Amino acid sequence: MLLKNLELYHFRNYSEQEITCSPSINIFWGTNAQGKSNLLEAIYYLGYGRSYRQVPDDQVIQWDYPGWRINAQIVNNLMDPIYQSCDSLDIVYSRETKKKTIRLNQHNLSKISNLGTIFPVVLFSPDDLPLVKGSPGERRYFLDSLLNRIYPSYYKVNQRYQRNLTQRNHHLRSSKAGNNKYLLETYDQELSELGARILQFRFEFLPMLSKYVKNFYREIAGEKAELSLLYLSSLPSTAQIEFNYGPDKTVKAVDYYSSLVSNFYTTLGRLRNTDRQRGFTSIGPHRDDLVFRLANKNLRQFGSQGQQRSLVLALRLSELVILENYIARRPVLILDDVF
Amino acid sequence: MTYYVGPVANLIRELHKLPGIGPKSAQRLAFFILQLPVAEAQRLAEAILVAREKISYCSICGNLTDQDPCSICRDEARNPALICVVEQARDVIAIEKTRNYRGRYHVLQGALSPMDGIGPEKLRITELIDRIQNGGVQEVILGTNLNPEGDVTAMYLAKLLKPSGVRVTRLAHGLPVGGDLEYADELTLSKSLEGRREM
Ligand SMILES: [Zn+2]
Repeated sequence: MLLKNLELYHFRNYSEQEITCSPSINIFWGTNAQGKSNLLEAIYYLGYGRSYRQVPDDQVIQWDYPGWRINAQIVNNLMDPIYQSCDSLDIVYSRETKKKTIRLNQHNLSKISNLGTIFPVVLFSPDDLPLVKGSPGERRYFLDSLLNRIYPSYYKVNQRYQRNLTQRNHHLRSSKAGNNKYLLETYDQELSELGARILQFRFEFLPMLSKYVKNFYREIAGEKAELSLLYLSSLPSTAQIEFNYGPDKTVKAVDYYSSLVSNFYTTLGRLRNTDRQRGFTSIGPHRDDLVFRLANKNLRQFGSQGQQRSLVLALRLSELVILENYIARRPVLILDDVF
Repeated sequence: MTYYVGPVANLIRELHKLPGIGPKSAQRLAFFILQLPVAEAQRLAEAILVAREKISYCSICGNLTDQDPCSICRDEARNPALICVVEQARDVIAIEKTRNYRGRYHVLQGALSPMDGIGPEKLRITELIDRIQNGGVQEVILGTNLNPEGDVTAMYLAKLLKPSGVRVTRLAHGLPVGGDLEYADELTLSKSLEGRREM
């Protein structure tokens, strides 16, 4: 992908700014607080439809203006020397309607998630360390957002799973949960079927992620010890799966879909009283984690700052290569403050 | 809204309470109504009042009606052994438009959604069980929406109705008519595989 031209209107500290990019590497150079990160934030918006700083859309408006707009000319085919196949991508936010409109060549885009394949972006920034050091949610988010972009049906399954999970948790907290066995059974059934599918997708995908992360980590860190990737599952039978072998020896998740479903369902049933007391669902793909080990020590807790940064970069580069393989477009890589 | 004199502000406020009507639409509608001849405004006001007073829920099926029981429940030509369960009265109209269904209905008046405080006790489920226990019902078609809440409601009802011995069926999840197979997502495709039928 190539970002040919970028225009910002009332976005962060920019009232009106036009930037023309070169077809190869672009460097934004300047002292602190000039708005370099804001520029990168705008580019990130084009790929994800939201800020990587996890702030709502109205907080990136300049002062008290009624809204902001980002317009970009993007080029998919880099081989086209005169960039004739240029697409116009537009994101407009209005404070009054609280609506964000995304247009590709003047046509409204119905789903923000489509941006992931229209203008793929991968970001590496110093704020990224939580990916390794933070809570399991950070790593699930990484995994899910990658899977969402390469398997559109993963997004649907996951969305449905989350919805049923919220409903089940609300039901657990309601006073009537105790005397309605059928309703809880229904949620358990839905969750175990959808959850098993999520696990299937993840298990199919992880060997590939593992392969790339290992190779990149070795190149970046230059360490002899081999990195290993483990999937830490909250389901008893799949408690720890190590994705440490080549693609030919991967876990054949497809074969045991039905055993995953029944395993999940029985465990949900067994933990029903615990869940009722806690008021939430204690097992499932929404509680799982990825663990990275080097010479048997977990890098999350015991890695040095340097090792953790190398791992984050290895994860981001893997993301880049995997996306390129799957969606046949080379993502724009944003490196924020890496030197 | 303080810019308007009392009655105008009041009208805008009431219109704004309607679903899908934002402040700007409410303002536009209010000005439209204020331009109407008095007789026409009166007809509109009366239509609202009369509809609200005369229309109630059918005591058998829960559909909107001006007579109790409703015209569908009274229609002898309609098969009383077949009941289609739907979420809302508007779903009855959608199915009626197909002219393909000759059974009766049961309107739940919602779908199970604990996050909105809607548990089984808030829906017309007891009334459905009573209808089945009174006898004569052979098949219940679960016609709730094909979204997570509609699916859970259908699965829950299926569990509940199982002991009664009546046949319980679900509207098929499937591919849209005129849709290309290659553009269907995996969830839709696998649901339609589950719901495949003999040819
Ligand atoms: Zn009726």
